[in-house]
Amino acid sequence: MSQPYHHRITRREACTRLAAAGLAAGAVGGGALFFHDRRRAEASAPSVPDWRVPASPQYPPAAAASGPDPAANLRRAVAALGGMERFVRRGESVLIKPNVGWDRIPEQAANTDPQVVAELVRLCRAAGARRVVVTDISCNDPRRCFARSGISAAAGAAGAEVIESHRLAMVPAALTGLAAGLEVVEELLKADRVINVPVVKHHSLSKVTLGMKNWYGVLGPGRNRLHQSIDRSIAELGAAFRPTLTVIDATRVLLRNGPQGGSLNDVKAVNAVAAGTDQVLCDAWGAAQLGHAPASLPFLELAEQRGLGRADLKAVHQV
Amino acid sequence: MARFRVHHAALLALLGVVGGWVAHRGQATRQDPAAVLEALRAAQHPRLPPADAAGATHRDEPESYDPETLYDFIDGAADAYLARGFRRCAAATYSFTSAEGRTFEVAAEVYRFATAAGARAQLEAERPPAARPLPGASDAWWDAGVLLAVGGADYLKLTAYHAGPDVEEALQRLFAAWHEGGEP
Amino acid sequence: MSWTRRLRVLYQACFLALFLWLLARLAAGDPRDLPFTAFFHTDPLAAVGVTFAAGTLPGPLVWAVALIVLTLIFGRVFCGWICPLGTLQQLSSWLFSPRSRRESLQVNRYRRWYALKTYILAALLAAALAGSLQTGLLDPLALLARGLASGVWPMLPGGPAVPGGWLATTLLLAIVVASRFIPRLFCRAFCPLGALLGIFARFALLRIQRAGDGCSSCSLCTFACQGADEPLGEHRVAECHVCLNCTDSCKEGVLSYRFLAPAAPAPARPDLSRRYLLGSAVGALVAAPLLQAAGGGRGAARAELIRPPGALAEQEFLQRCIKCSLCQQACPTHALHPAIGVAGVEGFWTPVLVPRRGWCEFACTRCGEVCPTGAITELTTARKTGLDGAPPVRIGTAFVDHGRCLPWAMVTPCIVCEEMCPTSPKAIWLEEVVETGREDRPVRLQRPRVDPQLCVGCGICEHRCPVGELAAIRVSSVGESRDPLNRMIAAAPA
Repeated sequence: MSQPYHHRITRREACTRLAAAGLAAGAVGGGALFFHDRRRAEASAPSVPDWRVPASPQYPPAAAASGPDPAANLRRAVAALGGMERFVRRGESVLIKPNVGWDRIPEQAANTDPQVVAELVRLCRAAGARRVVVTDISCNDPRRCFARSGISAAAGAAGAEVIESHRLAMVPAALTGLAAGLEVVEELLKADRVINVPVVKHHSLSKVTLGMKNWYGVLGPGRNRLHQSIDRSIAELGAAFRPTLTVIDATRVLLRNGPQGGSLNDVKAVNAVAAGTDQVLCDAWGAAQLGHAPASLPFLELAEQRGLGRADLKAVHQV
Repeated sequence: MARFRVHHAALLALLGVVGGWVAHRGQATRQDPAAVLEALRAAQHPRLPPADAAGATHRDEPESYDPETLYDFIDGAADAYLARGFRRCAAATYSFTSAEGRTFEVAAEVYRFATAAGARAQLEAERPPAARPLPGASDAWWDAGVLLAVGGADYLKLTAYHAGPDVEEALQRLFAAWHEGGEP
Repeated sequence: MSWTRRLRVLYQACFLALFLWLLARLAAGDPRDLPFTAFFHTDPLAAVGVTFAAGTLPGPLVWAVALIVLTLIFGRVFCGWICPLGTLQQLSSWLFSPRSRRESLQVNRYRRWYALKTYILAALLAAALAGSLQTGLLDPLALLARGLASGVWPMLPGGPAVPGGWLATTLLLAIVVASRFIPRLFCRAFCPLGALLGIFARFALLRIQRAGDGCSSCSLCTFACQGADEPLGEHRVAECHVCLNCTDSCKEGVLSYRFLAPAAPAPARPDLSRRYLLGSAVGALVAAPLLQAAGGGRGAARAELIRPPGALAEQEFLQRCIKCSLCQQACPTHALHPAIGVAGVEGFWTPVLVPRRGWCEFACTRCGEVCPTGAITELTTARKTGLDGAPPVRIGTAFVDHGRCLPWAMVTPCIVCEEMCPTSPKAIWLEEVVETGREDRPVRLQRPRVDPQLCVGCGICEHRCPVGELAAIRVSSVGESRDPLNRMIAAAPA
């Protein structure tokens, strides 16, 4: 039975009703304030850092060592450049980018030699790195690639944090040119130092695939469009990604049917490792292991024109 | 509530056995990369040493043949090879310059068979009766301008078209380079 | 709760956990030699089905005999103690439906139409005899595995995308939800494995016995009865799941689970109608070949029907595939998917390779390793890739679409397909041409061409082709090793 209209409202009732109305208004107003224009336009994509250390004329731009032990070759080459302490400071985080693209065993020379990667990890840790990450975006199934290449086991045993492709977070980055709009591995952008360690291989389009081409492995979906202007894209990536150190693994090289090979007939044991701060020079040295003169590679010429380095093989210090 | 009896303990134990078996299976991994490497090696072309290792001045790019194309290389003789389990062949020509300044060539062929017995059988079939065993090496015989040897499942055949002590020396150096080569 | 009942619950929990864990590990690519297929190897429905359809009992399935012997001794203990789908249904029934006692009595009443599962079994086995193996559609183990593969794994981060998987998932969900209304309805009315075990359970040496005059008809035994086998009335041993809830609940001590207990008197009206039984069997015997023929006939090769490497020829394959989805879960690239229409009516839910979704890793042999019935034979890497001297195993051939391919149609360099081709020497080779583009500028192009003698049909070229969802190079099944008639090249080795 309803109350008659002229029922006098009590003070308590009035307070309650005012409070309830006020609360409701406050909730709606607060919510509106909170959600108002919440989703702004995307913040601009982060740019790729420059991971290089300052140039030192006392050290050569690249050094190469040969011998039966790949780890020893690496150590000698890095020592000739001033030792890992020149590149990695105590407490820094390092990202090592080997080639772990293919479901192949080490003897097939499709991925970087696991001993070279493991030794690189050890050198970084000895120089005081607080965190060493080893990763790549594989072309074949990443679990198989990381396992069968031996890199997961070797790098893990050496104390690295191995991150397989499917666990990587990707973020947009401010890339220009052909790679504009592609995403990049987030871990890469967060690292203090980056070491690029490709393996020397034949490639049908660019003739060889070495350090600058290895940057394909940090790009997200859509990188299969870059082949349409491959030499230019390699030079652009070389300009965008400037690593602390480039290590060229020529323990075994892939002579033909690259970049993944398959048959042992495509493999040649060269048993050498080179390291350097000049990406172009390192790639030139790697190409020479396959018998290509620097002048015969268009992407090297484009990279030189951009001022990324000099492909003068005489500048490589042979240890 | 009923008591805990023998058959209860047995059932619990059975469950434990199942769990234990699963855990035991979890100890081993499935893949055996060694088997793949072995298969890869078996599928590889047999190796011919580079020119400088053999003391030669030049060696052209080796040609390879498999059971389908062997006929193109050695015609009707291919039948016997195939019957003995021929798998792959690598062949190249080496050029030598002797101390006296004479240049000559040696044709080198390595035939890989499915089994060592097959390689051996081929050597026995082709060995000239006058061939002598090579001193200091087992499974190697030589005659004028010819050297035959077996290493594992590989059968080496060296043929020179000249005669002379410098040729014999070249043959032996080439054999030594091949023999020492081992696995790449 | 008695110790026996406690143990039963423990068994159910452990086996459900084990089933789920093994499949989760399989889908995650666990490298350990875990017994992923153990449940299926002991599945008598699969064993009998494959034997009827293929005329042979594949090696590992002989373990199913052990389960049958177990049933002959103890009754349908598999249903009550082991079956993971049964446990799942029980969880659903227990969690979501507190019932009054009266409701419990109602839902656990035996209904005559529960005989349907035996008619289903008869139809399935008759179809198997006619050469069409469809037991996998309702096999509880396959059903649960499929539901996981099609619905649960895709939900998790990094999980595969399984288009068409909603069907299998809906079926699983329906079964679990149905159990909320009538507990274990699937087990009671539809499960052909349960029906099969029920046949053997009739000879079981141990069974529930109601002895003595102490029965007060309190119906406590029926409240928690899983099998709806009427322990209060004529105990139907073929329905009994040996859950032993009844023996536990009986306050008068009248019910017990005994060795060589006398069989309950045969029910006045037999549960199984001979007419329906015969009708199901004959119906299936007629329908199976009819559907085969209506679907285009078996053995007719289909271009899009790309089977996993090592799969038997289509006729034998369909006689063995129990649609368990283990191969799909094991495939590291998620290339295998349940066929909806592409394999015909018979091939519903059998695995088919979809290159746009995933490719066949060159050195991988996982699918054959986990197939429980040998529908996909187990290969070694050396055999599959042709390292042993014999030709590699082919599942199809790639064809370049000259109208879509960038170097062929758009004067634009590419070669991603050649780069990805895993064979050595590569099956895709490049033909160099120089073309003048639109601005009369010479462009050096490398045009991909496929060598059908080398292509194994793995599909990585199609998967990586940048030309949108309809790739410029596509694989079709012609050239597959398993079918000598599905060939196009005369000299192609078997």
